[in-house]
Amino acid sequence: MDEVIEQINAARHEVAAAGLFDPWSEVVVILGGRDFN
Amino acid sequence: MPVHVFLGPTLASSVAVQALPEAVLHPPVAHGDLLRLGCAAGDVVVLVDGYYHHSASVRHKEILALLQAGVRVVGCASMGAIRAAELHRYGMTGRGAVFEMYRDGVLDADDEVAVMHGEAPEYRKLTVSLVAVRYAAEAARRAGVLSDAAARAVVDLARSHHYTERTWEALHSGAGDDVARLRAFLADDERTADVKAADALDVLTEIARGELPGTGAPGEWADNDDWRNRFITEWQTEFSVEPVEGTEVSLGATIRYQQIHLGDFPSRWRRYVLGHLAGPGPEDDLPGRALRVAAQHGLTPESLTAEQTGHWLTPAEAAGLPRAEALLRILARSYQPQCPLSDLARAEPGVGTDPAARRAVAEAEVVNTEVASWASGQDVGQLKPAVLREHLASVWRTGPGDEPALLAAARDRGFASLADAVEAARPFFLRSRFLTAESGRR
Repeated sequence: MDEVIEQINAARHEVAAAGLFDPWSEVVVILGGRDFN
Repeated sequence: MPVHVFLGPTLASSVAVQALPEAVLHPPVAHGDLLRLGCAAGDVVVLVDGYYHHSASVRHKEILALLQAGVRVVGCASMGAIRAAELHRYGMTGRGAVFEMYRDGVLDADDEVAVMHGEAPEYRKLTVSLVAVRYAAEAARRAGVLSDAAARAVVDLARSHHYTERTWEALHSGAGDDVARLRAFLADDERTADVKAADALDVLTEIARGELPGTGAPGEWADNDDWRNRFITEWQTEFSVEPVEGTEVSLGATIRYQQIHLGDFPSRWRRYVLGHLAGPGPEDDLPGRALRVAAQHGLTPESLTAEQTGHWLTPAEAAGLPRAEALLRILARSYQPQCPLSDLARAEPGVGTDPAARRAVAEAEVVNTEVASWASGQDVGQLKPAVLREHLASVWRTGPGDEPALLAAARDRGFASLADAVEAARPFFLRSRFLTAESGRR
């Protein structure tokens, strides 16, 4: 899988620039991110 | 004989391995984890910690599946004690004080064992469990350190705090002298101070000594499959995993990958649906037989209403398709099987076992992990639905903005809704978008 990791790292700037992720869902993850057992 | 131990904050992993060197440690158990193990008769699974708030908890029938397969399942201390109290009649082995309290009805609330904790692998405990306070207070009462009333007051105080705020400091500020006496009493007695840890350590030590009691035999219920339902059937397909270059690839993920990407999946889905409706018979007459079954239920090409065609077909299809073909498409798009993954795995065995698809799923997992490691907020769960919808429109060539065609394409691939298709596409998007062009991957 090294080749796969290389390829996605080569596309790192493209991924960052594409605006694919929703920052609001990050807030939800932070608020709900603690687990318990 | 592997001994799988699902452990989080209850006991430090170093202590666990010291007690039972052959233990294979896993994170707290969650839904699907037991079925992913691929256990065989004679294996031992120890459930200590388990997720049950932010992740779906391990289901009872997942444990029953292991018990029926001859796996010894032991529960203690935390989630393991709860499940053991619920399933000890069916062959699950429960051990320890926490298990006994649940089994005997002394405890019945899940949050007795809940603690806040930090990230893996340390799982640092941030709060104290109610059961630990309860057990310690009772020991202090028996030792004459706390009066009956004081012991009861400390437990009541602990119960009044949400598990996320239940710390010794918070209790101290509410009942200073009693809690101070209790903590001083516990200072030299680790076992009484943390009954969950003591229970877990005892179980691992017993296993290491070969002293686990009983046979773990499930009983007569396991002689047949009457206990099974459609959910366990689907989960066993969903979570059946095989490694691809070190990455665990599930049959469920592979089928979902194919559902989205396999070019002839719609014709396979249609054959599967019509076959289900029509029952056994000649393959070449499948559409005719399916139409005859539909007619027996009052649904014929002539009976289709404008509302029905408007709901299930694109405007172009509704206007232009022959009526029989319109009905066949509606049958395929509206069919909701009870066990879609299991049925598809059986009806189209090549779909889930295709090496290229399994490799793609493994690559997607590697890509997702890599991208998530770059920065926070880049988990595939945070991909925008609109991005995924556009991606599906591109993969299925439905044309930009043509929502009816996109919905029809999703239904032709067995998705009940576009939202379901979007969720299914989520794990594969980054790989498809950023790895496919130059490498010829599909």
